[in-house]
Amino acid sequence: MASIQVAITFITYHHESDSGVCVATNYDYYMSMDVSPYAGQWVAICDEKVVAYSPSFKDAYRMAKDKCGRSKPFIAMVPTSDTMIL
Amino acid sequence: MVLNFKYKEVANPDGAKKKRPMVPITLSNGDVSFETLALLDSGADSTAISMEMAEVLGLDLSGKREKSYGIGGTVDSITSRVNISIQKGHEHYTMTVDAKVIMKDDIQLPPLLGRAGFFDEFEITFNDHKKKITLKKLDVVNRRFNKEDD
Repeated sequence: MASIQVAITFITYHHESDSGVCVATNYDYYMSMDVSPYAGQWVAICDEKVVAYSPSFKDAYRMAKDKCGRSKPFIAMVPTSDTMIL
Repeated sequence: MVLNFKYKEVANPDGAKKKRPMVPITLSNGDVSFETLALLDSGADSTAISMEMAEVLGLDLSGKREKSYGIGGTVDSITSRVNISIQKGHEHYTMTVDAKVIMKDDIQLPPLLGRAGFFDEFEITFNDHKKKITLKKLDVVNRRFNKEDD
C-alpha cells in the first residue's frame, strides 16, 4: 500500500510540472550541468535537455517554446567572467 | 517554511569561477510563463526585469516612464505588475509585485529581485562561504511585529 502511495505521489508531482506548477527539475539539471560553453548567452532547458541558446532572451524563448510543447521552459542567463556591479 | 538554494559556480576559460546568489523563479502573466534564474539584489529598491522579458510576458507597458539609476547610469523604466513564484520541494510561494521594466531593448539581464515586494516577504540569508542561500517566508504577524520593533 505504501509503495502504491509513493508511486501516486511521484506521478502527481511530475504531472504538476506539465500543468503549470514550477517543479525544479530543469533547474536541477541546470545546476548539475557544465554551462561554461554558453557563457554570455541565455540557455533554454526543457525536460532536462538544452533545447536552445542565444544572446537574446526573446530568441531563446521563441526557440524553446517551439521545442517544449506544453512544458514550461527554463531559461537562464549564463554569466561571463565580467565583473557585475549593479 | 524555508527554501534553500545553492550558488551555481561557472568556470570561465581563464579557470576563474564566478558564483552569484541566484534563485529559480517562475515569472507569469496570464497564460504566459517561464522559469528563470533571478539575482537576489539587496541593493535594489525594487524588482526589475528587462524589456524583452516584459514583452514576452505581455506586461502592461502603458504606464508613465520614470528614471531608475544604477552604477551604469540612468535608464528609463516603467512600473508593471508581474507574478513571481518561487518553489523548492513542496514549499511554494506566489506573489504579485511591482517590477521596474528597464526600457532598453539592447540590455540582457536576469530578473533582479529587490527589496520592495520580495525581500520584505522573506528573511534572506546569504552564506557565501557555504555557497548557500536561505529564504524564510515571513508571515503577516511577524512582519507587523518587526515593524513595531522599529
